[in-house]
Amino acid sequence: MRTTEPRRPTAPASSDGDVLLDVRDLAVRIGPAEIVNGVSFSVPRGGTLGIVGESGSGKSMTVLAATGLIDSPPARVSGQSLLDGQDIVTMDPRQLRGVHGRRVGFIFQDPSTSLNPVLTVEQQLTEAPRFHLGLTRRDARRRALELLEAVGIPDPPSRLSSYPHQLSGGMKQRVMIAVALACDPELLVADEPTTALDVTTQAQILERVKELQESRGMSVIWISHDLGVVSGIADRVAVLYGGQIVESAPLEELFTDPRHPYTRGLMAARPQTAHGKGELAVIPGSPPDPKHLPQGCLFWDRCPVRGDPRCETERPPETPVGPEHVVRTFNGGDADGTDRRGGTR
Amino acid sequence: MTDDHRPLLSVRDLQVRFPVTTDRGKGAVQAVAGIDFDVHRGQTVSLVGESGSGKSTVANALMHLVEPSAGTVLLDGEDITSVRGRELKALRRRIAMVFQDPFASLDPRQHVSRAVAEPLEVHGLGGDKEGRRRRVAELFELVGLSRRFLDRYPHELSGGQRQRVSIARALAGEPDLIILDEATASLDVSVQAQIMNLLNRLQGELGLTYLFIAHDLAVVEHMSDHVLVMYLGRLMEDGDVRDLFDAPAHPYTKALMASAPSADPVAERRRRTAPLEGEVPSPLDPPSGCVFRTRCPWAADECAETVPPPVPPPGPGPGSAAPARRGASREHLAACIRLPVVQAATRGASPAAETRAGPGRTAPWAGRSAGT
Repeated sequence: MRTTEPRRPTAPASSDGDVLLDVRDLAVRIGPAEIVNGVSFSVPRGGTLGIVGESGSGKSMTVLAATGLIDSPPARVSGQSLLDGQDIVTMDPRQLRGVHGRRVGFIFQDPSTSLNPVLTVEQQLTEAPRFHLGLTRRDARRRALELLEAVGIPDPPSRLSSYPHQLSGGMKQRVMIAVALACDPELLVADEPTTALDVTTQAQILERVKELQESRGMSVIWISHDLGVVSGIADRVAVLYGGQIVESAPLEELFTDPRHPYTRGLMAARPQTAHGKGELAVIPGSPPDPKHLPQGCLFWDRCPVRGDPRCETERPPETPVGPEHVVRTFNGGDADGTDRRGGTR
Repeated sequence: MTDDHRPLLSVRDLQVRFPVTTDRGKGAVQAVAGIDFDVHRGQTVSLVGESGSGKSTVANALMHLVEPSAGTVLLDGEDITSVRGRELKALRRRIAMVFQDPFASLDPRQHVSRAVAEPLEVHGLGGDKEGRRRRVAELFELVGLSRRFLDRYPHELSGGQRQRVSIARALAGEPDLIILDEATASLDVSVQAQIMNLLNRLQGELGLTYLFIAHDLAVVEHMSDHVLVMYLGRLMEDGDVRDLFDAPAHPYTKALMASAPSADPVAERRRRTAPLEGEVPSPLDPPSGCVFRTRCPWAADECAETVPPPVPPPGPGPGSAAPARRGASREHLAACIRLPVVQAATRGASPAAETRAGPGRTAPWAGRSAGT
């Protein structure tokens, strides 16, 4: 199904040929609000990056800016986002049209606002392939049927003439995935696509995306507030806080050896084991206001292990604590803080 | 409080039907198809199930936001199934409700203190204006909100703070029962943990009784004493929280649990297939026999013909002499005619289900039979 054509038009600026998307020092400001503050990550071909964070952590804005979906102005986007060496941040709208829906597909949380309510499933599924790939109506229709089949919609021919309101939430999200995959993108961006769905439907969608990814060799960025969901799909996880990556590691390493106190706090706050109605660990306080970010570490006022005098005055650097494990802290990821606890609180 | 064994809330054969008009003419959707349960004082009983299972309709029927079509509801022994007028107003003091989205349930143009003062005024509580003002401040303190929030608008508060206001409002009438309808569902993980801690602390301090409606099984496991699993308006399984989570009996409960993401990458990698295929069937045209059979991995021909006997009402069973104990309430039950088969196959051994009412009846589930 892959329409093979040279996919690297210009000289790749990224050093590693296996990297599809290389984001460097990305920042987003809107007015006085500093929403994304120097985020760097890369997504390998065929790999899945999970981005985890709470509301306001900047996870959606990071990915929207990295894929050229933020209007600037009003936002000010700086840094680079290299898709095969081409910087998306500096692309003009015409160049972006060749990326969106073609090389990068999107699924968002609420399929009823992403699908057009007055167009049939067929119209929505065939638009991009006809525009980007120049398919005829008949070929596009055949492709639409294949896609509906691939995302697990029963009886695709009868669904082609359905309107979005005639489908359940889970079905709509499957149609969204089919639309996102219609031009066989190299990267799929999924922004909390299962948050509004039942757990059973969520499990089905996760499973389906994993299969599609394996069969197509596609890369995926999966954004979620839920560590559990990410653990079902990602190879690598980045934890966002205050518009910065505070920790990033291969999936299993992040779960078995979380180093940043925020990552640890998130894991402890999740009710998952049987301990009756006992107190859950909470992270006191609330996330920083992007209009008034503190001078020092963004997690400082909530941190149980702060102690280094620099914590309050400098932003901690990204410190490697393993071959692929990076944590933004001064104490080298010694999140136990056993020998540093007690500082100034 | 006269009778220690008497449940605070007792629901028997509750049914809710909504009339609908389809291309095939007039019909009815059976949103709740006859369910029985008790809630004892100081307990948290949870209703879980997918969208469309009828769990919120049960809550709405208890509050008379929709009218029950059949059945009886007793609150502290008093029949509240068809109250009207002044009695209904009094009922809405005795049962309070907290909804999922506090932004939608608070008036955007009023200070949040008004939201808490309103039930006091409506029900004539808290004395004069000054007394009510003091009471509102007390309630704010109780839910962990500083007094400086009293004169804020909802949009000036965070999601967690708004939900605290909703809880303060629910507490204002000193209700017997608080219905929490997905009250923690739209909150971030760390805030959700704060609200769950608050609810449990308030329950311990004030002896509150909760009917907790949620779809997140991890949250339900943490909050509940007793759990009811619903599917298409029917109870699939009913058990104390430990029994139900340690040994889920009904194929639907097993599937729900297997679907929940576990935050354990190793377990997640082992899971290769989604545990449930398809979607909840339309309640306009529910499957014959067992309503779950169209998605059940254990379904056999008999499931299409035989309606599983529903989970029976709580209380002394026909064969049991002892009355139901207060608190730790009752047996673990599942509405499935193939329970012994399912159990034998999933446990590998020990089909511990004894059938209470003979073959083909609901099997009481020996929750902790193995090893304890």
